[in-house]
Amino acid sequence: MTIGRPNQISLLQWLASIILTAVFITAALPKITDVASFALSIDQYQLFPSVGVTLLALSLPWLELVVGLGLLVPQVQKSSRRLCAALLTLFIAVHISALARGIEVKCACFGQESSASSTELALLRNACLLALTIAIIHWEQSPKQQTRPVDN
Amino acid sequence: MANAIKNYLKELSILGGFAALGIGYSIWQSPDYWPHTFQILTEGAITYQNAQGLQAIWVDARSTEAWKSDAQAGALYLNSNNWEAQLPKLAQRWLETASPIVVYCQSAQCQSSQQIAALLREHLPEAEIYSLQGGWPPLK
Repeated sequence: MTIGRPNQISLLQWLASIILTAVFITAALPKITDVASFALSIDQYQLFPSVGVTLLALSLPWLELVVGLGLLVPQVQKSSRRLCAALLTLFIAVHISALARGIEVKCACFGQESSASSTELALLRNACLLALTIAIIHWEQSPKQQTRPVDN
Repeated sequence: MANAIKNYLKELSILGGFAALGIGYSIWQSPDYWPHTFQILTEGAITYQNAQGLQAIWVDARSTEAWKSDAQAGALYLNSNNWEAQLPKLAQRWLETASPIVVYCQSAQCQSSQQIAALLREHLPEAEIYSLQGGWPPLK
């Protein structure tokens, strides 16, 4: 007889996905409700022209929200995990670029007013989240069984 | 392999579709953020929406003709031509109320509000001073 009992890896995968989903949703919602403030935050990095800033301010929060929710939906989980890794890599690159150019930016990663954090802190947080995402992708590719036979 | 790519594309199109719906919703909710109309606030500027909640001291930096034809209620007429005469009045008003000061000029393209605001910051370093984004049109 075979029981559908999640093994340790899938449990860890599930927990990590929940953590990432919570972070992405918490980050996305304040930006969706205050596009202008988020645009100003992006503009601080001095990387994009005005139109690019606007397009990013409009699209990035929704992408974060969709990817965050997608991490929990089996039908789109694989792509969501990879997009999640891509987004985090992008954020890390932007933070490193700001540090390299000596630009002091308060990262409004979770909305403008609530939690402006330093670039270093944001970098560290994103690196941890990226490590978690890579771990999930790695576990997904491991050939371990999700169910195991049990003698009755 | 081909199947895996096909599956990824399918997933990406679903995610992209939902994200596009969200972006469309944001644009529909706030036409001000349409890419071709959106303007980043310049440093030291404030939107009319935000300035309304400040109970600010308004400073009109437009021409005399424009000032005479119409102005924001209670605004003080101050530009580079009458600077010496009007600055003490503004300083007095600020000392009485300690309200933020918002300077406006004729249009979104004019620079005089930013210049006057910069001068005021030098003379009243403790005051909260903004130039109005968009100039006079939002005040009409």
